[in-house]
Formats: sequence, C-alpha cells, structure tokens
Amino acid sequence: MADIQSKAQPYVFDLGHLMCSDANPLPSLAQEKEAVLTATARDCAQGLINQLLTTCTIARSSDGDLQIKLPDPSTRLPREKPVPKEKEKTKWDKFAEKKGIKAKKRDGKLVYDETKGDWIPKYGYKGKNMNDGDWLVEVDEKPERKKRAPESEGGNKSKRTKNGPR
Amino acid sequence: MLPIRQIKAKNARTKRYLDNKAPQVVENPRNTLFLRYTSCSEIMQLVLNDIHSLKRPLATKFTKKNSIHPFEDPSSLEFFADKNDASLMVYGSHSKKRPHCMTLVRCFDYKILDMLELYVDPETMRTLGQFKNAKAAVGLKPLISFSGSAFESPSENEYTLAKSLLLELFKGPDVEAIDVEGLQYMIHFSVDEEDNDNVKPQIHMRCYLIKTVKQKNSTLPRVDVEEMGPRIDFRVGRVREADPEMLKEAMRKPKNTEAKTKKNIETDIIGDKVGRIHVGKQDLGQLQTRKMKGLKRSRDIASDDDEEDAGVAVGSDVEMTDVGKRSKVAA
Repeated sequence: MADIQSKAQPYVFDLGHLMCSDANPLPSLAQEKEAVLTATARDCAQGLINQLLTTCTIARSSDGDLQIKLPDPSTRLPREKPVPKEKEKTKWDKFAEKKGIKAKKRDGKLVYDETKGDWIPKYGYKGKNMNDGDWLVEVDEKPERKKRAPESEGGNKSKRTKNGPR
Repeated sequence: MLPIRQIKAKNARTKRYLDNKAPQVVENPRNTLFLRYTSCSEIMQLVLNDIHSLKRPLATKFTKKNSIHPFEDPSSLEFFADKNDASLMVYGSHSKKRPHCMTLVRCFDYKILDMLELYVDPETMRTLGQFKNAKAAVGLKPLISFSGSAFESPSENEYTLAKSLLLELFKGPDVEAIDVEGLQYMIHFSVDEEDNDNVKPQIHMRCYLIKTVKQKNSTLPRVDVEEMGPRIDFRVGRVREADPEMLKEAMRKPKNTEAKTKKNIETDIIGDKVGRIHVGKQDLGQLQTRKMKGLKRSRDIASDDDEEDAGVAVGSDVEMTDVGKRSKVAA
C-alpha cells in the first residue's frame, strides 16, 4: 500500500457513514480522465476497506455471516425533524415522583412449575393454586375457625350489642 | 399555503402511521422524492432513473410533470414533503438557461432547509445500463468517498454543501453493523482543482463495484474497482444555503442519547470488561498478630494504669479494644 502512504494528506474516515474524505488535490484530468478518476477511487476504496478491517471489531452473527461493527458517525448532518418535545408532567406524575410511587408491574398470568417443568396459570383451570391430585390436604386452621363461628362479625359486634336491640 | 390540519388517529393503523411520522429521538432514514419539471430532458430523466435505482428502497418517484420553480416558490415541494414524509428531493428540469438541471433539496420539519443546483454534462453522461456488468444488490449501504481539496474547504461554500447533500442522499440508513458481503460498491465524488476564477470546477460522480483479492503477504485484501455506472459530471449552479436559525434547530442533539460513561469500568483491546474496585482503608489496629503473654490486652491496660482509670479495664469489650488501640498509638 505504498501508493496510499505517499499521499500528502492522509485520508479522513467516517466509518459510521462508510465515508472516506481525501483532501489531496485531484490530478489533472486533461488526458486519460477516466483512468485518473478510477485510480483515485481505487486508492480511496483500498484505504477505506483497510481502515474498516483494521479498526473495527468483526464478529460472526447468529446466522454465520461476518459482520463489521461500525462506530457512530462523526459527520454531523442536520436532523429531518425537530427534536421531540418532552411531555409535560401531569400533577399526578409530579406527585408520584415526589412520593416515589412507581407503576405496578404486571408479571403475567403464568408461573413456572418446577415439578412439571412447564409454565402453568397461577389460578383457574389447571391453575397453580388448585392442588389437584392431592387427596389429603392439611386444614389451614385460622380461616377454618372463623368459618365455624357464625356469630363473630368482626370488630363491629361489641358496638352493636352496646347499641341495644334494633 | 394553509397548514395541514392536525389529524387525530381514528384507528390503530393511522396511529401507527402518525407515530412513525412524528419527530423521533432516533430518526427514521430519510425518504427521497424524485420529481420532474414540465420540461425535463431525456438525459435528465435517465439521471433521475439511475439515481432512483441506486436509492431504492428509500425512494419514491413521481411521474407527473410539475411546474415548480424551487428557488422561486418551494411551497409545493414543502407540501409534497409533508404528504409523502420525504425530506430529501431530487428535482429534474431542463431549460435554455439552466440545461439538464438537477436540484437537490433537503428539508427540515417539512420546510426547505437548503438547496443546490447541479447541471449535468450531457456529453459525458453514461447510464447504469450502458455498463454491461453485474450491478450491486438493491438497498445496500454504499462506501462513499470524496476526493479533491474543494470539498474540504474550511469556509462554507457550494462544494461543502454539495458534499453534505450528496452524503445525505447516498449514505443509506444508519446501521450499527454491516455484513462483509455488503461492501459491494462505492460511490466516488471528485472535484477538479480550480484553474481560473471564471469556471467553477466540475464534480465527477462515479460508481464502482468493489472486488477484493487476497494478498499473499498481508492479512488485508487488495481492492480493485470496476465501474458500474452511472457516470455523471456536474457543474454547480445556484445555491440556497440554510437559514442559520433553522440550521441550529436542525443540528440540535436530543438529550440522553449518549450513554453515560460509567466510572472505573473499561474495555481493553481484547474486548474484556475491566473494572477497578476501591477497597476501604484497612484498620491495622484490629490486626491479629502472634499471641504472646506479653502482648495481652489486659497487661497493656495495667501498664497504662497511671493515665487511665482502672475501672475501664473491666468495662465492655468495645471499650477495652478502644483503650488498647489508644495505648498502641501512644507507644
């Protein structure tokens, strides 16, 4: 690549755009115009491809093609449309931010069942909370006791008796 | 011209379209519109066709004649830009005064940002079809090169504008990675050196297929080029430079697009992530050294009896170590 190194001014590359800028003055095109142009173009192509292969990381993609990772473009070009305006925060947004309230994440209806090794619904038909197949289940005592005592009506009972008969 | 009324999406498809058209932080690639004036020479039409075929699929070509004079009244072009969501335009026209004229138009927010007229030299023009060889596949990102000192002029002139517009026109979509097989062709622009002040130097556009040959003594291949067309020589005509206020708005960078650099995390040449961790200062006072009778803490305190209250020695564990440390410092 002696012909490239002999250039007075080195090429400037913008690999994000696959661009090569050659600031050297063009040789005279008075004779053999096309040959001169082809030669300068070839030098540019050689320089650009050398630069691509030496400075960029080359990785094999999932389908087995060799991919050259390009850097971000350094030549700034004007935008097509203005920068999007930031949405104004609502009163609730400000309040939630102050209080640290975040939107609840919904984690879906399926849960992973390790015994089955599969995703099954949390509840409902064939749900996780339906222990089908277990013919003997231990009674959870607390709610069961509540169920059996129809008198208990929570904290309101004492107040009701104090109020007297209806 | 009346402003186009604000459309509110009535169904999901319209909403998707409008969301896609709305300003975005990371922008969609520009669409290019190809238009012609009421009179458009055959040469000009061939040029439009060829550039269109290089630009596919990010291009729309209109076949109807338009009587638009971009430098006098560009409102129709702005209307087309909005309707077609196209922010680049190639407008072909031909007249006695401006023969074989191609106008490159760049828009910002559906308003004309800058324009440049390029007059095609009809003598040297060769179309894509006139070169009988294989062509590059459609929609590939080309290599682009600019040769000649005029493109690198430090002050803004028609050649720096031409460089910016031609790069914008041909660069294709911005991508993060490119397939090695995708490096198929190069578009080369070169500009003559200025000989005399009367004639503006020509811009030569040449498209080449790229062939790589393995070299014996090097890992890098030798590159050969073969012209595939189109071959166009341009003279530069009228220019409309960007309004500085508008350009400033167009060059604005959206916030939060650059990733924050994390402190103490680096990637080395091989691509491994390397982190530096700061361990707090080690407390050497607590260091367990060799146990000997003479170094017992109880003895330590007994020797310091005259300074310290003897009651402290039977205090809590924490106090004891505290005293021990102090005595060591004193020693």
